[in-house]
Amino acid sequence: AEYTLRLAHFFPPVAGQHKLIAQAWADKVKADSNGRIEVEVYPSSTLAKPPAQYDAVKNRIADVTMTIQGYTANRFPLTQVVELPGIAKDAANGSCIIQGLYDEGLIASEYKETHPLFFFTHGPGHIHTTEKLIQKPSDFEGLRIRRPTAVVAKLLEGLGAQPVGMPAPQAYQSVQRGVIDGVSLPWEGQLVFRINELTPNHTEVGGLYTLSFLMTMNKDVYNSMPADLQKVLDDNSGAEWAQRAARVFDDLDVKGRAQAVENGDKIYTVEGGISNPDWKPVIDGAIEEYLSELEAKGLPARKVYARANELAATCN
Amino acid sequence: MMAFSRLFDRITHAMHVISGAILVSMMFITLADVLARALFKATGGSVDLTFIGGVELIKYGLLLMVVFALPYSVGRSQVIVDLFTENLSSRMKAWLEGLYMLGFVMLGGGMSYRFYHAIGQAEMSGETTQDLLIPLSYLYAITSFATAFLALAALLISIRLFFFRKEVHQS
Amino acid sequence: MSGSIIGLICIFSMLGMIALRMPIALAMALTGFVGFGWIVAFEPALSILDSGPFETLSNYSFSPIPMFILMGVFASKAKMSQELFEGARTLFGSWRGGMALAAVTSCGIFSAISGSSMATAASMSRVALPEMEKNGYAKSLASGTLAAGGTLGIMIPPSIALLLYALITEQSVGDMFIAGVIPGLLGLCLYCVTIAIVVMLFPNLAQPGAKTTFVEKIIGLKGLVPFTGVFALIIGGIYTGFFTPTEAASVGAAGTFVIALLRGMSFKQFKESVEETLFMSAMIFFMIIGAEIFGYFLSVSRISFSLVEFVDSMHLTPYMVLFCVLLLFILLGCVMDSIAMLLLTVPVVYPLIEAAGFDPIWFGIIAVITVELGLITPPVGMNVFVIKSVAPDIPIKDIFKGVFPFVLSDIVRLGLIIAFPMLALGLL
Ligand code: NA
Ligand code: NA
Repeated sequence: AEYTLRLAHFFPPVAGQHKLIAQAWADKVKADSNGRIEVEVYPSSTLAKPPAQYDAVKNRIADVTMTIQGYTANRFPLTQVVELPGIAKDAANGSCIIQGLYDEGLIASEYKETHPLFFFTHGPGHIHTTEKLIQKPSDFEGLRIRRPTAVVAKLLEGLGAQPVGMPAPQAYQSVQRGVIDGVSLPWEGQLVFRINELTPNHTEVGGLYTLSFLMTMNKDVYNSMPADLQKVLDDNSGAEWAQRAARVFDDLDVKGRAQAVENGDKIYTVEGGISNPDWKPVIDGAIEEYLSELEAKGLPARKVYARANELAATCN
Repeated sequence: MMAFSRLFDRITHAMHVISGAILVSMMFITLADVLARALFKATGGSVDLTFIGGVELIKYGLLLMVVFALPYSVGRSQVIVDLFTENLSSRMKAWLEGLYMLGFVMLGGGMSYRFYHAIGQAEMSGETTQDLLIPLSYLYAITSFATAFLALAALLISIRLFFFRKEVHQS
Repeated sequence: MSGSIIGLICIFSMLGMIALRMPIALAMALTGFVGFGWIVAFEPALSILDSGPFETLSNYSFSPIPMFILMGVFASKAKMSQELFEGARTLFGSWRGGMALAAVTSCGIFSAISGSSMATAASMSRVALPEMEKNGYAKSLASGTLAAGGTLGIMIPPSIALLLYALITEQSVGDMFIAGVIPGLLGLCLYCVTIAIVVMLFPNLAQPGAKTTFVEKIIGLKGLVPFTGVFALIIGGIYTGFFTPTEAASVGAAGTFVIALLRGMSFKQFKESVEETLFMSAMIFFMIIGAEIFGYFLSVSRISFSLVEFVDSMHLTPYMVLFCVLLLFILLGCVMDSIAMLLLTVPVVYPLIEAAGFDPIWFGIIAVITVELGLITPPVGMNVFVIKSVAPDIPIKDIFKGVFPFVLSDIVRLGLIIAFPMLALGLL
């Protein structure tokens, strides 16, 4: 091949995300370029640890990565507006919103260092605990809960939990070793990272949060390619792949929940989701705090938030 | 030269002492975390001395403990295979050791240079740690400083081995 | 040139540099840097110098390493090792070879609160070696017993080697530690049998010690009290959920710290303990940094993939694969340090073992036993060197001679665990 691209991500090689997103994209690019672009996929963080993956692409340790922006705290504050409670209904909806925000240029300023290919989100995030079933915010008191990003941390802290930050692949060992008492993850993550084995209690709070992902590549590598190969990559960027990725997450959400049901786990669904009066004040407070913090830094957070809500309604 | 090198030894030794202090602090922080949690559970939540970031303090404590220990240890804490070179003259052995210390000069220098760059980038992006929201630029700055001393310490050892071998004859 | 070819060239040059006295940590870092630069480009290679060490050194899972060392050092400063040996000696000392039994048993018990083989060998030999010599034990038997006894530290939990294996292969540290219990105890039993056979065949190597009364034996058991205390604290805390296995290392270190304080540890001794811990930790972390940089190169060379493909094309049976891997470990172990070997070889051979369908935890135990054998095999045996540093008057040749029966005993243990995987997996 004329170009060999190394694609790094943190999902295990058996996961749908590896096979149906990373590898599928690699195969498609290879086929579309008639074999002139070869993509080697490095699953399970073998090339770079999750928090270092974005920088790995910037510095060309990897050429392409599929990763979570929020694993680097504070670097993608406008992007993470999409993670706030009540915005995305599921992965298809969330992915359409985040890709839309990028395409409209509202968050593009955060991605000057790399060449983004497409954006997506996972489905609704829930709470999963080892011993205590969470039914209302006060049940969180004194529990150490893994959370993915600083935005979600603020939520959990407001609810009374002690948030502990770690990438999803570390969650299994941490729950097993008792470093944490539970996790915030979508059902898909419960399945892919095998956390369902360890947490028999699940609390579904409709609309609690979501996470933004992106597939991005090294700028210089992209720029060094001839126009026809750049076109192959352009054709494999944007909304179509965003929706393809979203489908993978939405399907895995269904499977992950079915697995918990099959295990005979306790699943508590909060009535009314985040609008439930027990939860609403804390959650509204966290949203407000996040937005005003960003505005104070001179970032147009409320504009992005408003547009995200509009997109949420039109993305179906 | 010897005066400078003595002064330098004192600095790296001071870093070593800081490293030791961090090590002992890590032990007590973990203990405090464990006790606070136990107290919280035992009193049903009424005595709440628990604190956020216990895991993160240990994580970055470990980082700082290690990088501060490196300059003082670089000449002493190396594992080598001397099977095939046992019969070399002690002069030759010292020469090789000096050469390899230059390798550590490059390693420490490279790390310091990279971390120095990372400071500016982390300042621009405002990236912080996940739990305590410590700006990563601070951590990079300290690491850059410590690894610079790793490079200097290795350089000094190698200069001694090349030029002042008689004066600092040690086993 | 393909990545795998570059990979092979770099790995062989690295072995060459190691043979020329290059510190192993530097050899790994240099090879990693140059190899990565060769395969990818040098500017990105430079950037692995920050992201690699930063992510690795701030890894919470590595935090028990210095704590396991600190715990052992405090225990030794608190004279816990001395008491332990005295106690064991009143129990068995009057038999022929009884002090050797006492020494090896003490090593086994000391291992339960020490995570490092070298620390165990160093602590126990300082106490037991002079006593055994004073009582007419041959230098070879005395030093060999302690060099071998020290290796129990790596298998009986807590253990830095098992921790590292678990982290490299993403296994549960708790499971790994539990799996090590029976193989560790089995090793202790086999060492005792070995001593019995040796003194039976060569009675002049050991003299029976003074007789002790039943009451003295009971009093002697008090040496076990602080160990039982710390051990119960660690295990009890983990089981009741008061703290996690990662935190247990710190809690255990704090426990031995308190005992040492109660026994009048001076500030000077405290400083020495911390200093010793820092030197040993720096040694391990230098190698961890090197291995991390080397790891990036190993990934992009895709040498593990090629190795799996190559072995696949050879149509070897799983046990032949295992045999080759263990043979490689034993050969490398002759000249290399155990931690360096684990960090270097496990990422390469683990995919082979996985492809052959072996249990990862079982293989971890076997791998660690084999690697640990390297600590006592000539010409480079770190534990033997530790003994030599404690007792400079004993010729290295004598220590290796004394340790030889224990090498055989370890090979028997390896065979047993390969034949009966239950020995490692039974408690899980
Ligand atoms: Na041990
Ligand atoms: Na050896």
